[in-house]
Amino acid sequence: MPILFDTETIDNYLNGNLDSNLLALFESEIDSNKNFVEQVFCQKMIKETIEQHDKIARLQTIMSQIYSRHTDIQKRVYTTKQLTKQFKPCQYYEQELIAAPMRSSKYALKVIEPQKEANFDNELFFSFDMPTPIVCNLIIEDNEETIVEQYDIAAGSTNFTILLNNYLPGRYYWKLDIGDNVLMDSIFVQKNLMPE
Amino acid sequence: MPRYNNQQVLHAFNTLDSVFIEKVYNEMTPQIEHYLLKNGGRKENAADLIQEVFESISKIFTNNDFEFKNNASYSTFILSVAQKKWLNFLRKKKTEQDNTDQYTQIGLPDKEQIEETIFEAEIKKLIDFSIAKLNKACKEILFMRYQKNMSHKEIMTELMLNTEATSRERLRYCQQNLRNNITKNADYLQLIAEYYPFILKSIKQK
Repeated sequence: MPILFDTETIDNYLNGNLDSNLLALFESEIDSNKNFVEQVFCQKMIKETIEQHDKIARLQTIMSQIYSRHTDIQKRVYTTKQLTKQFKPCQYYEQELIAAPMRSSKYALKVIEPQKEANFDNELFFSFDMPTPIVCNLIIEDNEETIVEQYDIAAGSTNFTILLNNYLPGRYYWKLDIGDNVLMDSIFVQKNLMPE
Repeated sequence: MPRYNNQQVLHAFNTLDSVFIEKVYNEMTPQIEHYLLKNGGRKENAADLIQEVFESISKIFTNNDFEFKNNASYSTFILSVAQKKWLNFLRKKKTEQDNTDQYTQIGLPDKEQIEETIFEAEIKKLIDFSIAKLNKACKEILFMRYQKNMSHKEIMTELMLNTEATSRERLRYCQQNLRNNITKNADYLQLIAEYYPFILKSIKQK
């Protein structure tokens, strides 16, 4: 004859709050009654689902925003003319980069990544050879010298990541402002779309 | 090589760090797509699969007791969940290629943990549906008890009930109601039958 345990006793078991006598009875019921096992498991899942409920609901909102951003990107279509324009080198910056390669500063900070003209599809990753000595301002410009975005990189950072969801395919120039010193180079976003 | 460490990823899901979660999404999406395309899937299957995978891992990563077993990295874990879900989908569809063993096997860190992850996420999804069907009063008392960890005395005061016994009785009634809704579901019963050994192990761990 199965023993009947109420939901409060099941909760106490799940919380580890049963006294040894009741625990022995409870465990013996688990060993012999499949329906009871299911009931305890169901109660455990109910408890966890409710505990996590608000967090999961907020995560679902975050995830839907991420999905829709990615779906929008996948739906974007470009003409060859648009792409040619977006990937065209900026003559002024290109000459500057040839004249004075700017990948290290008076603070001796060197930018390890991104490499010159590296390609990025989803995110742009910066890494430095030492922690940034002060707060640095990172500016990303497109090939028409228009600022796309600016970021403050906290002092003491050795890396920094930028999500590229809102970046069109094309050629970009980054500038890292460290005090009165500016480091600069070029990168590509979705270089696979660059016309021949 | 995964870009982040397991703790960073679990922390991001638990603190709802949307920027970091998107980084993980960006890292994993091409890998899942690549796996899918190499294993009989099409680009259009990828979006659905990726959504399902992130839905499952959200439910698991936000569980306080969760930890990666056998030194698995989060990226191998997520990719393994994608693989398992894809193989389940193929089995259900009974496609022309029934022998799913031929598909690329990712080095599963712990096959059992992947199965359990998917199973638990499915069960929690079904429970979520059943909770949504409850009346307002039942939802209220269940959330007070299990989310806010309120005692019956506190619930009694909050809901202006006469006695603690009334609170107990109402909670019991709502739990029974919820359980009846859950156990009416054929998918739930099928999952329970299929995963009985895991269920037993899961409750004995407590």
